[in-house]
Amino acid sequence: MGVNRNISETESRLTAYIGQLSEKDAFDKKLESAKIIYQIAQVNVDRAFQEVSSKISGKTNIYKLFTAITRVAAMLSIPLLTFTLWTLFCPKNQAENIEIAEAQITWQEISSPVGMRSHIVLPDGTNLWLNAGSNLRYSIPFVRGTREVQLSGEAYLDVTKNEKSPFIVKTENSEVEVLGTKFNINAYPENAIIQMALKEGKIKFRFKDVSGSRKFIDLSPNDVMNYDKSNNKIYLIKATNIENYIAWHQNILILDDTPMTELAKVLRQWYGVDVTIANEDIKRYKFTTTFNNEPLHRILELLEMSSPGISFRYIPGKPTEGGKNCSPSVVIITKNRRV
Amino acid sequence: MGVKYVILCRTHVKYFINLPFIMASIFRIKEEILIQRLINDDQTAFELLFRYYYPGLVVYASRIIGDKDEAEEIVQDFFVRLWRGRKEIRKANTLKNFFFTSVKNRSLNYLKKEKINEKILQKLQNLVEKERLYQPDLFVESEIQARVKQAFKKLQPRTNQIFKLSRYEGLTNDQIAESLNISKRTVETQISNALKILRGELKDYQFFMLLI
Repeated sequence: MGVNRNISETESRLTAYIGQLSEKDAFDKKLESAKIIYQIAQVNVDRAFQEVSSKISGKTNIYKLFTAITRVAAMLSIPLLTFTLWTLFCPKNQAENIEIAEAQITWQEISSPVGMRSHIVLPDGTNLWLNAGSNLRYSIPFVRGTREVQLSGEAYLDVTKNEKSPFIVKTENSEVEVLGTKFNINAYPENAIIQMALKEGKIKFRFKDVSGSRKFIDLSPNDVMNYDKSNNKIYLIKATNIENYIAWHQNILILDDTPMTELAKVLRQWYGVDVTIANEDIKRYKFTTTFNNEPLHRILELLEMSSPGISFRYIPGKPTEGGKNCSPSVVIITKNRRV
Repeated sequence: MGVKYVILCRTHVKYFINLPFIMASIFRIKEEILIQRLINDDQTAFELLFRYYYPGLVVYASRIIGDKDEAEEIVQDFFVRLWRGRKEIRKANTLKNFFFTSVKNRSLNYLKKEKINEKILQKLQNLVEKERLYQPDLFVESEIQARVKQAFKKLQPRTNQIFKLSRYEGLTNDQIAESLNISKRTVETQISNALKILRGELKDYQFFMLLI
């Protein structure tokens, strides 16, 4: 009876709805379309995507379990051969199981090209900002014995606490283990050093020391650590300006006694432009300032204003043949001629 | 409108960008390319499509069957099947129509299974097919959405909030007055204000013009 009542409820609701809609005038419908847009914004996509991901991988698990059971059943149904088959195929079976386990792990890869930064929320709720020219890989399912990501480049992480599953960031030459912290890691393959800056919590940095044996070092808040990849040496300092190391993730560009050559690198990384410093002697100029989310042309304007004697010229890139790509835009920094 | 683009602004990968001229070329991926990537087992392509279309499809389905939880089920099920059957995807020229038609059929089938009266079902189906409030463009980022959002930008934030509480969250004027700690009179004036402004802003907005 309950079911019947539900049907008639749904039916009368639908009838009422159809009736209402036909009575609506044009303005009401416009307001209704606004309501639709509002409702769309309320839908929780993150949760839904996790559900769908687990539905997709979950079903395959059941399927694989089923085939595993049938395999075992088939073997048990031939009691005479069971023993010999078992001893014969046991090692092979194990190998197969491992293969299945491996096959279920897929890798997700995210890159931030030069000129862009990305914000990623990992499946465990960890927030990760990926700086320009960086690359991140993580496995799905993400939370297993450990939570592992592989990083090439720079990232700022706000790691969700999970005592049962340590969070590990692997880079080319080292790995970092954390529980729940906020920290910055700078590990561009082309740089000679790997730099860690810890804002909150605790991290364990693992590396190979001079003699090649495995060592680790614990960092506490406000520690900035440089690891020299060429000689495996660690340099540790207590920073008073830890924000300088992590501000990039909020789109804040901090120049702190930054030499011109370094500035050129930063502009290239942040805005994807080529920078040419035309005169040798201006390379030793230094800049100290902070830009909050400024577009390139504003930055160039401000730098030019603050440093008389130097001019910044911006030449936009041109479409190459076929019109699909652009040649990189160029910033040329020159010394003004004395008049 | 020669080429269809999926604009990837609703993904969880939020790109911070300062340069509009880079943006134009990188943030738009052709839909055909996404389909091709999906067919080639690319999970990222699947996720991008999911995040772009899911919210709109859920609201669309729940406006047919009148139940949001069921709607989420229907759309999720659709995406699970989409992933499993990705090898069989024909090169659909627009995913939008394919997605919305599939979800519409699934929703109507759901009602059929619930043993809803044939006549009512027929009426509903006609409505969904003809009524402009069910055109897919309204449910994805489109010019039509942009127009409506633009109109709402003309409201003061306070007015906007009160209007949304009243019309979308279904609160009574008394409840709104209480929760915002203002008089019921103020609530009433704010709502009629909002209506007046929206009426003016949406005057030239036509559902038709973007139908094709």
